[in-house]
Amino acid sequence: MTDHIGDDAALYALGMLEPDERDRIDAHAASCDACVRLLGQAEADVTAAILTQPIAAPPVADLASKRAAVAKPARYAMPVRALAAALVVALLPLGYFYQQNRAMQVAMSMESDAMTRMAASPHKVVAFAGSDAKVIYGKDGSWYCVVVHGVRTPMNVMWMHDGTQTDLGRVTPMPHKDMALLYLPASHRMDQLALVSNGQIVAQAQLVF
Amino acid sequence: MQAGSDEALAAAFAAKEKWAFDEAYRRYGALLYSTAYHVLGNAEDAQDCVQDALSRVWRSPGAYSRSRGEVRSFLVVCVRNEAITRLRSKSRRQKLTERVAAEPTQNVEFEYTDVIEHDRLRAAMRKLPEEQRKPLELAYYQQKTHTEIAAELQEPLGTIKSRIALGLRKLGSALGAP
Repeated sequence: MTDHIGDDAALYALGMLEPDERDRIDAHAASCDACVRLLGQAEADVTAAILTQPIAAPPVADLASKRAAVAKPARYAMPVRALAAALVVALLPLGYFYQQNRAMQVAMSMESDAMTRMAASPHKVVAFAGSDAKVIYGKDGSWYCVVVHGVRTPMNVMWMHDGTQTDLGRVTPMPHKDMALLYLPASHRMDQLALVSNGQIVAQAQLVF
Repeated sequence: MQAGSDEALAAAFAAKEKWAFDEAYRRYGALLYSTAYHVLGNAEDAQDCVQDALSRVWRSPGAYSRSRGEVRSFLVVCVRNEAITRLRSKSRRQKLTERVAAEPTQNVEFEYTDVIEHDRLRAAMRKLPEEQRKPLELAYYQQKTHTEIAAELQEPLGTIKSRIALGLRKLGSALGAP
C-alpha cells in the first residue's frame, strides 16, 4: 500500500474500521513514519476522551483470586529456604501493590456508589465559588457528593453552620483522573459547605433546596 | 532517560522487552479493563477482551514504535478496537440467530457519568460545529462505522471521514491531549 492513511487515522482510533481495514493501516504505518505519528495523535485524542469516563473496577472477588494465584507458591517445587527467600522477595512488592489496589478499590467503590445514587435520585448541582469544584446533592438534602478537579494538596469538606465548622471528611483522589471525590451517602440537610486546605477555606458553596 | 519514566517504558515496549509489557499492564491494567467494560458492559467479556488484545499486541512484530506516541494511548485504542469488534460480532450473531435487530449494549455507568467528569466530554463535544459533532458522537457513543454514519446523515463517505478527523483533533485538543 502506498497511499497515506490520512483521515482513516481518526476512524482507526475511534474503532470505526473493520479488522481487515485496521490490518491494512497497521501494515502501512509499520513503514511510514508520518502515518504512524498521525495514528498516534488520533489515539491520544481518543484516549483523552476515554479518560473523562469513570474507571470501572474489575469485580473484587476476581481481583482477589488473581492476587491469590500470583502469591501462591508452587508446593514442594523448591527447597524450604529458597522458598522462604522467594516469598519474602515476592511479598514485599505484593504488600505495596495490595495497598495501592485497596486504595483504588475504595475510590472506585465510592465513585460507583455516588453515580448509582445520582442516577436513581433527583438531585441538584452547585459550584463552589472560586474553585473548579462542585457539590451534587439530593433534592431532599439526604446525600452529598463533592467533586474537586485539580487537587494538589489534601482537601477537606466542611459544613459551615451556626458560626462553626464541622469536618465532613477528606476528598479522595480518583485513579487515573485529575479529580477527587467525597461521597456522603446519608446526611441531614446542609446549607453551606466549604473546601479547606492547609487550614484555610479555599472555596464555598451555598446550597439551595 | 529516567528508568521507570514513560519514555523509558515506551522505548522498552517498542523493543519488546518483557518487563515493559508487565509494567504497562501494571500501570494501565485498570484503565484498559475499564475501556473494554464501557464498550461491552460485562466484566467477564471485558477481561477476556483485554487479555486477547494484549496477547495480539505482544505477538505482532512492530505493532508499536516510539513514533506512535504514548504506550497508554496505543494500548487503550487496541483494547477499545477489540471490544468494538466483539460487540459488532455479537450483534451480528444475534441478528442471525434471533432474526431481530440487536439492541445496542446498554452501558449504565456510561450514562451516569454525565453528572460528574463526563460532562467535560459533553461540553467539549458541544463546542464542535454540528457537522463535526454529529458524526463524532455517532462514532464515539454508538460505535457506528463510517459507512453507517454516512448513510444515516446522508453525506458522502469522504465528507464524513474528514469531518470526523477534524472533530476528533479539536476534541482531543480541548481535552488536553498532547
